[in-house]
Amino acid sequence: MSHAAALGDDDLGSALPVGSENANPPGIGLRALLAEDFRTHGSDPLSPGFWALAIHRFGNWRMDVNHKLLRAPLSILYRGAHRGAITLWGIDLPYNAKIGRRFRIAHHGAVFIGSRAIGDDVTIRHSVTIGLKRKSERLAPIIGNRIEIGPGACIVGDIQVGDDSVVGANTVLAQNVPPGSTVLGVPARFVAPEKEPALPGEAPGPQKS
Amino acid sequence: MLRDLSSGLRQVASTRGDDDDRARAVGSASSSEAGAVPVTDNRPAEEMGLRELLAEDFTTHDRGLLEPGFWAVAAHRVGRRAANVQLRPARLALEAAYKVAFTGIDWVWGIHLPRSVDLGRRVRLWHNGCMLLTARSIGNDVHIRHDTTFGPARGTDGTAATLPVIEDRADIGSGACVLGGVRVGHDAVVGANTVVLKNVPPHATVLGVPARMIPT
Repeated sequence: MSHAAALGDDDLGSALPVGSENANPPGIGLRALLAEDFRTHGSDPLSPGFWALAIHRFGNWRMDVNHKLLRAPLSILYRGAHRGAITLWGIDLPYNAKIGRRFRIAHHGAVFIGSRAIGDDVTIRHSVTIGLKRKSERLAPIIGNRIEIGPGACIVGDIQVGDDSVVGANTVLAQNVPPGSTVLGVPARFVAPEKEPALPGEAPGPQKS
Repeated sequence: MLRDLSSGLRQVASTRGDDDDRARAVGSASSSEAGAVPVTDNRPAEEMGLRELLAEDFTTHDRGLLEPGFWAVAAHRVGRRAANVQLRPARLALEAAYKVAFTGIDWVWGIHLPRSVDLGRRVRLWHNGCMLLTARSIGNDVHIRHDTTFGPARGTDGTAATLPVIEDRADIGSGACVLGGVRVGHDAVVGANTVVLKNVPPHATVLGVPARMIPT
């Protein structure tokens, strides 16, 4: 890709890695990776999440084909499949957003993943957005390992989400999160894990935050 | 007062839902008769004929053949009955048809309403989908809008105890999430984009992430 070549190897200036190389998890072949993704999605051949992820893996794998002419038909196939996943299921998973192993899209619809990197064992649900905070800013989030992201959550900006964190449903997160945190709210607030926030109508006294 | 008005409107809506002609007849009768709302038929869905039930669901969805909500509810009704059909070939055909319809509705509109959900009558799914409705039960006359989520608070595979119960006439706003083994009381209103993690008392209105009660 000419524009990718113009940006060069330094991907810090762009929102996403330029996608000039295969960013699939290292140390595992495409076939084994897809088999693992299939198991992660409950071994359900009708799971849209699995297919969208498979298209993403294929989009990365094709970057290993160095010869431009050989790669061209693969790129056309990838682009068509990527567009199809957006149109049919509403899952937009660009191949240059780096995604670790055992990523799971538990339910599809209105998903956009524009992260710089996502670790292993991350679960997302429908209506999740990961992307830029503002159009003028260029850096997207980095998501750690073993993270659960609830439906409707937005994770935006130049932030890092630490390992083993939980991002609650409909939460808007635009700040760094240390490992093991649970965040909930608009904007995101830290809550004690496993302790569900009380409704103020039932709380003993007024809560100040 | 607002509450009275809204429940009055709901009763009018359910009257209309029952039978257009009867509602019209009531409307044209004397005012005292019009004020007397007919007793709503609340037999469990299981006790009704499939055709009768689907006709009611169709009416609930404004008789729109292109309403995704109607098709999702219809697939659920057929799926519930498919397992009980005695004749084996008919059962297998119905099960296959259900599987195809369920997957198609999930793929095209993103409405995921498994038949394990105990679904009440006249449930209305508004707008164009993206709903994950794995509740334990959903009561009669519940209104659900797009982008809603009912499910376990953690993980993806809930048992009955970790799934929410939505009681009769609850009104669920778009983008709302009801997560975990909680109960949304009858006539409660859950505002748009609200995240409910605790029980909501009957007639309450909640809003926010996490949900807070707001005075009505």
